[in-house]
Amino acid sequence: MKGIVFNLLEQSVVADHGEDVWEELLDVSCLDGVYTSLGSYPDEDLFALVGAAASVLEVRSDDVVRWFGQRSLPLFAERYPQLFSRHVDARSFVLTLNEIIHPEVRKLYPGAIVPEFGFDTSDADWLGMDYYSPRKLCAFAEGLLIGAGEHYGQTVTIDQPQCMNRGDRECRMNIRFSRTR
Amino acid sequence: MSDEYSLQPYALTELPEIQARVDRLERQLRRQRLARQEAERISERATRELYDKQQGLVLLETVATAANEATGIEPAIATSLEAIRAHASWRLGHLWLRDRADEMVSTDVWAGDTDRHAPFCEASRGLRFGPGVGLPGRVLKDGRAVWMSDPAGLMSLPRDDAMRAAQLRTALCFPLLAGPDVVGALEFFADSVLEPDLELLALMSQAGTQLGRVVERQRAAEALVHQATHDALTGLPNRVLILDLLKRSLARQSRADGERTAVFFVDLDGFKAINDTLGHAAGDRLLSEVAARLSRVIRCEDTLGRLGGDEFVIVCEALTDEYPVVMIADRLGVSLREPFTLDGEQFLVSASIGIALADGSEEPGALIEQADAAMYRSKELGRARYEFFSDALRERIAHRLELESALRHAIARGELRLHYQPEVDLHTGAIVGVEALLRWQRPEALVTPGEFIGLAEDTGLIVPIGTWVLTEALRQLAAWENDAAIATSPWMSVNLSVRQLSDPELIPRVTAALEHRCADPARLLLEVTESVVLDDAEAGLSVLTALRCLGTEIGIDDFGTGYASLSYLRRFPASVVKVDRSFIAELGNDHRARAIVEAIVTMSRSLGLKIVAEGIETAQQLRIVRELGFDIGQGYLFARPGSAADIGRLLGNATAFGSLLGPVARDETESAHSRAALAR
Repeated sequence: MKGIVFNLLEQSVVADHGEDVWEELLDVSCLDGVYTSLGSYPDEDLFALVGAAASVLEVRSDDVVRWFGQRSLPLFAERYPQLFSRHVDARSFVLTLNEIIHPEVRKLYPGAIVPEFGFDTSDADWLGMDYYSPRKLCAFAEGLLIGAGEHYGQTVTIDQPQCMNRGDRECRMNIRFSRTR
Repeated sequence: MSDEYSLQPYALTELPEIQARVDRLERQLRRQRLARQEAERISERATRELYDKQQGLVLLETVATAANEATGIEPAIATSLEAIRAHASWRLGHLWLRDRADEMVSTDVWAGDTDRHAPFCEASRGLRFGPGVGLPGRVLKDGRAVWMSDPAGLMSLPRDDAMRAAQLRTALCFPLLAGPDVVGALEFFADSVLEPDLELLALMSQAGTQLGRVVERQRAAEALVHQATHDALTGLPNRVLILDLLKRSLARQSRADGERTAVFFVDLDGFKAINDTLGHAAGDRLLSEVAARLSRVIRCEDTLGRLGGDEFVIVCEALTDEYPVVMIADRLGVSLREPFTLDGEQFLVSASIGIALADGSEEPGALIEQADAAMYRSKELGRARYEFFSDALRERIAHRLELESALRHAIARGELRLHYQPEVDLHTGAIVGVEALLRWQRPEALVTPGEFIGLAEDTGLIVPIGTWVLTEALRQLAAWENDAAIATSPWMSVNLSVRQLSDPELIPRVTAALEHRCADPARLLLEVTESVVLDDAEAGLSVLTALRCLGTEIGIDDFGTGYASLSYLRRFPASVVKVDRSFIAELGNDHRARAIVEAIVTMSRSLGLKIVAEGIETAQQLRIVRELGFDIGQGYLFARPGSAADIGRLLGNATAFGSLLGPVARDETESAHSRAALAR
């Protein structure tokens, strides 16, 4: 897992729950918390931190991940504004994941494992999105989608008829974006 | 003291201080965090730049490898086109090439998802843009990349509807450059709005130069092949390409039942005269114009080529019946009917056409030879017409081949004979000369000169035959000189052909023949036609001058039929002019013929040339040529060519034909004068 993910998680936790909670999560997970965006760290560290947050904050793990995704998006927008400024709505932004955003990720982090997305754009009202990743972090993607909607002033409704966490081969999300405000 | 402090809890008064310390530490922590993030950003930027640079290098390497390994323009560029498209994540890439008309032409080389964008690809098919028109046209005009995106930029483009329908919203087009010249362009399309990427543009500029070299190199190679397979003057396919085309066509014909291939052999009538009169530059212009006219009347599937000189070939493939052949032959003739204007003057040019139809078994070369033979038949039958190669023609060719083979052995078999025709002094009636005329007596029949002299010329056999003629004529001359019954032996006229004059051994041969018989060179009159100096004036004149230096006389035979102007006469080292029999034949009927002959006589006299009338057949012709002031006459009226024995008997009579001349003659002074001029 790339260090940036840990940095964003720390930033999100500190912003919403304070420094002490982050310290507590590290203590509970027995981690030293030294993460830099330039490094890569074990996936288990992230899952341990998510697990600790679920127990400390008394929420479900996938809710933690979803919340984390939603909170990360504005932080991404802050770091990489040029990826967002080309678009006027979330749908068109999301559609550049495979061709622009992930290639950019690979530029920074050679060998980064990024999820694969498949898009179904046959209907203008909703966007079909297939998600596949061995990390099965579809909830993170969901949170990012909601965050993207917020970035462009849209409400996002996601229906997930298939999920890897429920034993499907890949996750399927049918996404509706409200009109931009 | 410190121990005391350290053991005691903080006093309340110290709390603000502690708070300040915590604040400071938090500020430090924030600073450290920001510093870390700043360091990460710098590092990320460097990483990204390095990555982009590396990818750029990889791309350029791909392009360079494709450029070096490719065997053609399109394969080389197809590989690079896809590499560039993938590198920049564009939807579509497309190649345009500049053509000879300086327009950008759409190719079928695409990269990307062409299935999804099939309508757009279709809309681009067959397009050509002049400078300034469309993306490629703008690149052609400015030699620079063009980057355009929705909505304003793309609106003005010729394909904007197709682009909108394909949801393509950004277009990039950059030139393939060979030096400063735009030789092609690559265009790319994206389905989102993208801002110009300077790094990408810099990369494209390098790729454009690499690929421009490929185009240039390939074009140079194509130009070489074109040069080797096309005629430089007209740009038409040459013999090499025509033979190749025929080979393929005949191979196809052998597979496709009922389809035939036809070859036209087109040879201009009288082209040589125009070339000789106006010079090669005008001749070349005429050939170009002829090529243009011929190409306008053939069908688009036919091929016109030039074999060289004034010989053109047309190949018609996949014919199912002969109608198009006749139609094309007619149209070819009609196309030349309008006069050609050269150097401000109008000229009429016709063509003799031979047509050969392949029956499926011919070699390409043989088919052209058949068409050539049919063309010769057209010439024989009066020019400005067409003839098909036929079984009869095949037999004629076979006959000719048989004749050629026999002619090769004619000397050794002793089948050649010389006959002699008297040349008569028109003042005294005395035989002053004889012209040696070649006869071929084959065991089965006498072959006329018309049948075999041309063949001897074409095959080069004229050289050994000519040597034999010279030797035999000089032998006969010596025999007459030693004949006590002959008071004054005549001079001997011997014809030399153009082919003999270009024989480098001619001078030694003549010298040897004269020495062998101890003959007086002044008794030998070598006759050449005007065409000798028309083909290569300087070379012809220098050989004649050398012959003159040997002491022989030079005569111009058949004068008036060639195209030499009278001014040529001045440079000719000749002492005798023989006016062609066609003028003599017309003298009684055609006052224009008479005017021409008068001019020739006047001119010849002023140059001190002796003038001979050939082909005198009637008393009226004799009267007129004497009135016009001819010195010497020759023709059936006096004597037909005869054997040495027959002519020897005539030579015994000093004024053999005096009775024919009547009262006008008998001017001994004039006659003595003319003999002196000849002996000069």
